[in-house]
Amino acid sequence: MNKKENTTPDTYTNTTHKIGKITNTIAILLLLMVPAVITLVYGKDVKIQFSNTISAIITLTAIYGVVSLVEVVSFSPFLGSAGTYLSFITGNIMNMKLPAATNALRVNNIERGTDEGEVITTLAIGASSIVTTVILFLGMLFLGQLLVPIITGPALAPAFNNVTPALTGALAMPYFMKNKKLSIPTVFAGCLLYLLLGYSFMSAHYSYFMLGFIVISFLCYLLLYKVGYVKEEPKR
Amino acid sequence: MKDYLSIANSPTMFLVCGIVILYVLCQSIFFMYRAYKRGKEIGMSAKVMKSTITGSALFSIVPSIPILIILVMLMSVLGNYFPWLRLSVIGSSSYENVAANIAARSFGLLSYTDSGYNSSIFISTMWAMSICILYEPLLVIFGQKSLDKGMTKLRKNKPVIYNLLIDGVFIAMMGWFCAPYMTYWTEKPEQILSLAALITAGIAALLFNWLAKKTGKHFLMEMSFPGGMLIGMLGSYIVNLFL
Repeated sequence: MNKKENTTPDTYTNTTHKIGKITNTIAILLLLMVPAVITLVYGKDVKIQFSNTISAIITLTAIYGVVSLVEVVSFSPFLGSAGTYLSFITGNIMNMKLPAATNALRVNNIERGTDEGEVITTLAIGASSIVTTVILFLGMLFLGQLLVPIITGPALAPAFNNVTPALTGALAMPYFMKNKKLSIPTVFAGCLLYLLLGYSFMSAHYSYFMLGFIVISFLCYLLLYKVGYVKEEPKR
Repeated sequence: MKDYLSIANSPTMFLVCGIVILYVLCQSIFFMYRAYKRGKEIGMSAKVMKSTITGSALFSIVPSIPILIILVMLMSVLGNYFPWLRLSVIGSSSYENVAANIAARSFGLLSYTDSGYNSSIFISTMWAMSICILYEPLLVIFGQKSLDKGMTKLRKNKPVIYNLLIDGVFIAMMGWFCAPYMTYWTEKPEQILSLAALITAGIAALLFNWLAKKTGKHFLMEMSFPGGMLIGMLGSYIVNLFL
């Protein structure tokens, strides 16, 4: 970090974008290096089927192209600038990075989008990434073979199968209770959609519905604010 | 042993996957170092920053366990190192399993556990999975700065709309995430366990917050999220005993 960066928040943010772009580009190239090296080393003995590979790429793009766009637009405002670069390289955003960043801001009563918020979200997301990396490394070495039979066994499976709903409940409820006027109709609308259209249909069109739901909710909040039903901004 | 496993578990594979993971680990440490230094410059308390790191690290242990389960599941089929890479970098537990299956189906197989899975399909799967996971980081590289600038401008010029957008959207997103857990049991009764976990965790988090306010102990506030999550898991465990 240079001296200039120490002076203004704008310089710090600009440097963050520069570093984020460079480091993520290197990460992308390194990721592509993996199949490239394997193809180079073993490709002469193995016939690569290009048409099937392209077909797999097209199918995966059709499914995950929209998901990617929705996730980047929806999640990045909550992760901070550096946190976004880091999160979209380290992955597991919805179940790890987003809760870690949001909770860190709430616990320390720091506003999103501020200088302090940027620092806190980066530290929370970085720490979360390191822990997952270490656990997965140990998991790959020995921990996985050791723990998985216990975790997936009949005794503990009900608890570990429900980590995500537990995580969602612990994160969402304090916000819901502080913003009852917005949260009650929102949760009700979400539940109604699932009840009317069914879980399978909703799962098959998850990203499209999520995007639509968020946009419509925001427009409704705006309307409720304009007509005076909601008098203050949402509380954290 | 299936022939592709000699490639999947080869030292070359370990080395290339290890390099990528090590790089991303260093990237995380570097970003944290910059943030910590920045925090000191703007007068943030070292205690707050350190407790953020500790709290986030502790919270991350439990949600890593389901990822560990997917890792072991994928390792048994795709070898030790590629799943390790995919779940450590960019990937998510929900994406990897589905992506590996879709890639296998493009080769006419039922799934990646099919006996017809071979070296050619393995290498092709690696390419398909590696390319298709890059859309998000590419979007971030090309779009994040503009998105960030737009949000900063909005925050300065229209703070009310900014707050409604950020916090309102968060409420909408959480409502959206909660909805399936609150309703799926009507179709599949055993999913009542998800509802039990969601509600118990939420109530426990509220209790932690209430206790923190009553006692003035910040530690309880820090515990509200990870503690709530653990109690939520306990909730589903207990409900299961009565089913």
